Amino acid sequence: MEISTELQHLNALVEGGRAQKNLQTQQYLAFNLGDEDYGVDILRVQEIKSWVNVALIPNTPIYLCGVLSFRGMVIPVVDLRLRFGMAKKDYSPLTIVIVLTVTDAQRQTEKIIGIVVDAVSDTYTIAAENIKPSPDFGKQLNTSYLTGLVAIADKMLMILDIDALLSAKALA
Amino acid sequence: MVNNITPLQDAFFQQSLEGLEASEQVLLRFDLTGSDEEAINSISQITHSIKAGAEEFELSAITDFTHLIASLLAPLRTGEVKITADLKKTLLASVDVVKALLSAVQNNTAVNQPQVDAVKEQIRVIDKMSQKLVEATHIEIPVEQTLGELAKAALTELAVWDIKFNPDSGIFKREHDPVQIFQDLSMLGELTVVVNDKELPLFSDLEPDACYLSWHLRLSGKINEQEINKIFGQVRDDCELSIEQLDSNLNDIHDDDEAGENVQIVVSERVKSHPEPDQQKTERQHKYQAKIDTVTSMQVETNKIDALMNLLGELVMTQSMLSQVSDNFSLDSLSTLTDGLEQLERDTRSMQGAIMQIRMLPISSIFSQLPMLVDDLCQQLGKKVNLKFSGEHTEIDKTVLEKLVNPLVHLIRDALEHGLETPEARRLVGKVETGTLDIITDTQGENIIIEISDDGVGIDNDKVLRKAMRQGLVSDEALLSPEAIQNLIFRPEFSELDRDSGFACRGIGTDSISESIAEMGGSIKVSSVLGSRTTFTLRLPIAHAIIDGQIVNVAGQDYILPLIAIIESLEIEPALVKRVSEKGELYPFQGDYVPILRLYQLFNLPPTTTQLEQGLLVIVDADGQKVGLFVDELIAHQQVVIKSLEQNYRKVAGFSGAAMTGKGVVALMLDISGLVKLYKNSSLPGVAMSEGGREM
Repeated sequence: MEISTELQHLNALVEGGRAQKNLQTQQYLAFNLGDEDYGVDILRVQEIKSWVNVALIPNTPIYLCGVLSFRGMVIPVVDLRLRFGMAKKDYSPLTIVIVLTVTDAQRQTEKIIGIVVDAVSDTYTIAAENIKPSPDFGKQLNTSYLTGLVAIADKMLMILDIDALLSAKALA
Repeated sequence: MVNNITPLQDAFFQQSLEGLEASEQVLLRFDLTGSDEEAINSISQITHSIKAGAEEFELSAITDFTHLIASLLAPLRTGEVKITADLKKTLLASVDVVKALLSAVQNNTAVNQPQVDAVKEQIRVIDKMSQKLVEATHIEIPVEQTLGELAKAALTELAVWDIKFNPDSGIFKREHDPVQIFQDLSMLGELTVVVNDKELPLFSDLEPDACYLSWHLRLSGKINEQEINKIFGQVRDDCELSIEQLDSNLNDIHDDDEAGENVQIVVSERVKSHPEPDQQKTERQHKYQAKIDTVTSMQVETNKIDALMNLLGELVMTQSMLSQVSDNFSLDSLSTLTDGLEQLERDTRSMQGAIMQIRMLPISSIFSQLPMLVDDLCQQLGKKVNLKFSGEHTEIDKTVLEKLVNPLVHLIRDALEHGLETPEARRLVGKVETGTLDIITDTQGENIIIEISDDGVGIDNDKVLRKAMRQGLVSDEALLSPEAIQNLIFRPEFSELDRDSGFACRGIGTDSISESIAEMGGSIKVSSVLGSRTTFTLRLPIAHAIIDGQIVNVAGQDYILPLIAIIESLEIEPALVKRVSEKGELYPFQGDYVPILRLYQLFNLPPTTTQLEQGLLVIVDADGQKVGLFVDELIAHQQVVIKSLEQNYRKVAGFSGAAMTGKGVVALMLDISGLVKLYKNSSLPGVAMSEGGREM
């Protein structure tokens, strides 16, 4: 499938997911990094884009790729692979950027931030009680940015707390 | 309170705010000696239209207040009372209150009730005075009764009133508000309120709009029964009310203790007429803050829109011409195509200009607030100042204008507090008692220049230099020009008040001003003559959003430099480069040595070249000090629309924003003073830079 049609399809999927309102269940957008599956609250997803050249911001963490223009604003883009300490994958026009709304609890402000992922797979409807707490790895692994885990068929979906993951402090 | 603002209401707010702005202008111009009928009439009209609108939308607080103002204006209109300084001040304060009330409704926030009450009190006092004046002038016609009543009113003694107020349960549905009544009562005198909530049902049985409460009030002061009755007038029929006068011995209300729990609240101590200075300060800050927040829509002159329509017409013509060319395109029509494209470019440019023109407002719209601020401050500080404006018709972009308010207020406050002397001190040094504060605005090319100049004490270079040395900002041997020394006060190190030296430090918070000015893409400088004058010069781009930029390339990345900062670009002759301790690099330029900032080093990027002769040196002005930026090449000169980095990320040292370049990609906008800071703080192979360049 052509990348533009695929993106159109994915964005339609997100629109559909956002439109479904249910108190007990929530829609999640699933994407993967390598063979790991992650999910984000679909209501936070603004758009799924393909990679464009970003402007590098000097003296910032390596996982901050730079900034790009999105709907007339300048937004930062975070490489989730590098954020999680995985190996870097080169960017191409086939690279996927998910544009998310991130809120800051203290300042109650909303920011728009893009994340670079390997691929977007699907949307899932998940009931809150099916989200299991993430195991404690102690010092081995910081899991504070995970809301919980969900088993879907043979997959384990890690639900991300993007507000914690992409907080201003984490990106400084 | 109304939560959803309809377009109609919005129009009302807009109109009211404009009206108030106009009244303020009229009031400020008011000549105390003559009686300006026209002015008073126009203010009355505005007041009445706001009142009518407020009634329409059931905004009772505004209706009540405008009613008070109207009562104040009535005797003025008939000419029975002449305007006084007090009256003028009260009217100005009233305008502020109405504005506050409006914005409270608009933003659905609470009003600063004490402020409102204080002004109400002022109005009441003046109203009474003018009443008496009016009545006194009427005495000549022998009306026994009036005289009698006047005497009686004057004789009203301190009385204590015991009021039992038991409204029926439907009082809220008829939109009466007991709290308003109590507030009105508390305006008369000292009020104690005890609420009786015995009738309050269980939460499950509670009807949200029914009133289950009754109150026992005690009011003391020089009040007669009519005044109290007047306040209860509207609810009279909907309640059981008993009003009795007690002996003036102040007894606390004895709880009619039965079973219920009573809560005692003192509603209001009489509003102090002189709030603490601190409080005043914050209130004023509040006021100016509010003013900045409320500008959400703007008026546009019709001729500006007409110009835009004309341009749009041309644009449409060009576009249709172009589409014709493309319909049956052959190589012959190539020249028509290029002509058309050129035309399109011209049209787009003019269109941009016309749209920017719409956003332009005369700077006088913020100056109008200043005389009041200066008056207030002078009274507070016991100083005499003559405030003079020139060039206030200069037009400036709305966003710049809004952001300009705070720095401007800060600078004026600073000039009044630390710059100008008290009348006695001025007399001692042989100056006229009244100081002058000049605010001069002018345009220079694409920039607007604002000079704030006071004829006060000036800046003591020696003190500044001593402090700078103590702080380690400059080394002992540095030879600085007087101007360079004075501009040190913008350094953050100077922002702390230096109590030990006891020197009225002009510079408190100046770093924050200089920062916010830099954010707007402008710069600030100070020049001063000790003992006679200090001048702050602000230089701002006329339009904030769009600036002329020079795109430069550093290590494969494009960056934008504001064109106004560039002095010259030159090729580097390696032989001329001087090194300090084999590290810091200096390059001769116009008799100075300017430090070379290798941008790739500051940005930690893998360099395209480290050979100075293979790149270019762009000499720029960083807050009055020249530095050379080493870049790979100059790309293009282009107008860019600046976007904030902070909105979705954060402030990044060395950059003031980002913009789309002609290539359709984002490039970061360089902030030169930020780069200099970055350079000084970096542990790169570059040593501390000499300040301002040393004379050769």
